Amino acid sequence: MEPSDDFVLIDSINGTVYTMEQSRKSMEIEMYRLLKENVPEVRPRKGRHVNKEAQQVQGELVNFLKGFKKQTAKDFGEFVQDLVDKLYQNVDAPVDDLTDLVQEFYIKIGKRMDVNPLYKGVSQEDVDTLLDLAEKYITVMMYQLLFCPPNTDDEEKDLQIQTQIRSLHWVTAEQLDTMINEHDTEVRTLVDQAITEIIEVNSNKAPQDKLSCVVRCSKHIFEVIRQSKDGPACADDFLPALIYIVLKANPPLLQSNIQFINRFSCPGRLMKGEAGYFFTNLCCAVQFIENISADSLALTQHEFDRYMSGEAVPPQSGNQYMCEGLRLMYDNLKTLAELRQRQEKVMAEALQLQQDMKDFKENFKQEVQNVLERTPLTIKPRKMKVDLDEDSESLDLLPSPLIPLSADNVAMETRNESETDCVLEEESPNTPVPIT
Amino acid sequence: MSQRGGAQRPNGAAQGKICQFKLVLLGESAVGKSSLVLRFVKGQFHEYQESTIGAAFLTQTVCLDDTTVKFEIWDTAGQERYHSLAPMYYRGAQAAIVVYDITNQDTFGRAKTWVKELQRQASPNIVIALAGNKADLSNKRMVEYEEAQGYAEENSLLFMETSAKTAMNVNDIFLAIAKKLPKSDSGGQSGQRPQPGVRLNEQNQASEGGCCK
Repeated sequence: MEPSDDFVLIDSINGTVYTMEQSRKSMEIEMYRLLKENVPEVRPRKGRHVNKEAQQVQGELVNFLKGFKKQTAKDFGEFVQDLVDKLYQNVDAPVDDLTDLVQEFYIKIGKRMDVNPLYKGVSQEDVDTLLDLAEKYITVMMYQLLFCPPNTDDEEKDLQIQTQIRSLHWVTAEQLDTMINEHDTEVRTLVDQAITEIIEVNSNKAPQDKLSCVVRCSKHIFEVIRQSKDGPACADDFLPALIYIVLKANPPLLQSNIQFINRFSCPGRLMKGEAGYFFTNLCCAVQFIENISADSLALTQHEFDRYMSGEAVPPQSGNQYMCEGLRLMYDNLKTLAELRQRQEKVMAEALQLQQDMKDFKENFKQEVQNVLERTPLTIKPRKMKVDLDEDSESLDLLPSPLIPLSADNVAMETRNESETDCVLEEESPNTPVPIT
Repeated sequence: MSQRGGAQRPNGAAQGKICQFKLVLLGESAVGKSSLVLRFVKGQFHEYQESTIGAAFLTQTVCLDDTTVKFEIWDTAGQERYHSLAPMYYRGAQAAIVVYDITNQDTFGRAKTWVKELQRQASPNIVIALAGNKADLSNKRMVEYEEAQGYAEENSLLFMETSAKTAMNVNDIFLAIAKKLPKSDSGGQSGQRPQPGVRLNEQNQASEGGCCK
């Protein structure tokens, strides 16, 4: 049925006259109200752009809440929605106020789940998941507002660190005291993976997802260290390697991302756990890069200044495979050298085989010779067989065979023979078959 | 960012008392910080398993009477050039082990610097232990036991000479720290901002190699 504006409805309770379009809208609002009572819902308001990602996260939260009692789910949803509303009301507030709002929310919701009877019996695991989902929902939903807000100096700091990293392009692994050996193809691959992960931080929105990237990057770095060192990596190896990776990656909006995680993560996430540890290391790496000096790279001030100004290049960096073509060439040369080595080995082995075959032939000949000498072959004259039944002319001369005298004797003998056969056949399946 | 610790959960299922503490390892490089931790966590020295790819962040659980204490051990880079970054690591830590090498007087000097810094800048209730590592090399000893013990007493530190190689005193020093740490739900810091003495649920323990195994 086509909705038409001319079609008029009369609301019997209120006595109001609606056009079809109006009624459709009011029905939508009513349906939305009903839905909202059960699950938290994004309120479609003017100026609120709800992107696909936010909808997806919202779906996750709603789905998870379905596993709880209706009242509990409603309470949680409303609590979250309340914060979102508050944040929208404070769009222009200083970022510290927004941080306080969000952090207060985490503490309040945490406490609420601890003491409110609505949440009685909810396991710690579910509490953690609820907090994670709430964090994800709020941060993804409000990303535009909370990430790198215009009233902060985040952007300026991003540019500062970006420029600083660019001007430190000459820093080598040796200067940082890491034993990353980028000449090794496998190490190079791992380094590339670590760099990809640290760049990915900016592509994720929720602090927990950003942190996961940092953790994955760190795991790759541990693998890198394992390639160049016996035994597990400790912090003495890890931090310099992470600094090196950050310098090579120059991750986009690094400061903004760190600030965002610091401000809007669930409390405790950054102070404990693996993610907290690796994030702390990342912060340390950034701080080190910001304050880098001649001392921290074990250089003289003069050398440092010359390198920073681009006047000179450290001697080691000439060996680095900065250029992809060169790197490929060296890789190929290495492969060729390996191939040559293998070829030589094959050749040597082939010669050896040839020699072995010759020796074998000689030995064999010798053996045969020896055997021949030990047991000389003498051909004895062939014995003549005498075939008694052979037809010969003399047979005709023999007398004819004797004819048996009694027929009874012959019959007895035949029967005895067939009986013995029978017994043998019966016994045969039971006799064990000798294993050969 | 300020610390916001988890509190007790009356709503949660009944659980044994589990306390989690962040312990930070300080000391110059090559004094054997990570060997000490690996010995404590994995019972290993030099014979590393494939699964141990990093000794920078490890966890270990110890049982103490009716309490389970879960240590989260944060290793720090010991090189002089990274010294200034240390506060970021020990922020929010409830315990610290400052490690030196008994065969190297310089490392003891550095250890004293760390202790001073912790007392000045770390959280006021932090439990500090001093570990004189490589005690198996006593024939090359440069730091006398009495000297270090005297220093530890003056500064009310826990003190033990340890050997990651022979496992001497390794578990003991962690146990001594566990005993000294406040284990009440508020983290034992009355009237102060809550410390993250977070209570965990049982399932978190399953994968950890603990003393209960």
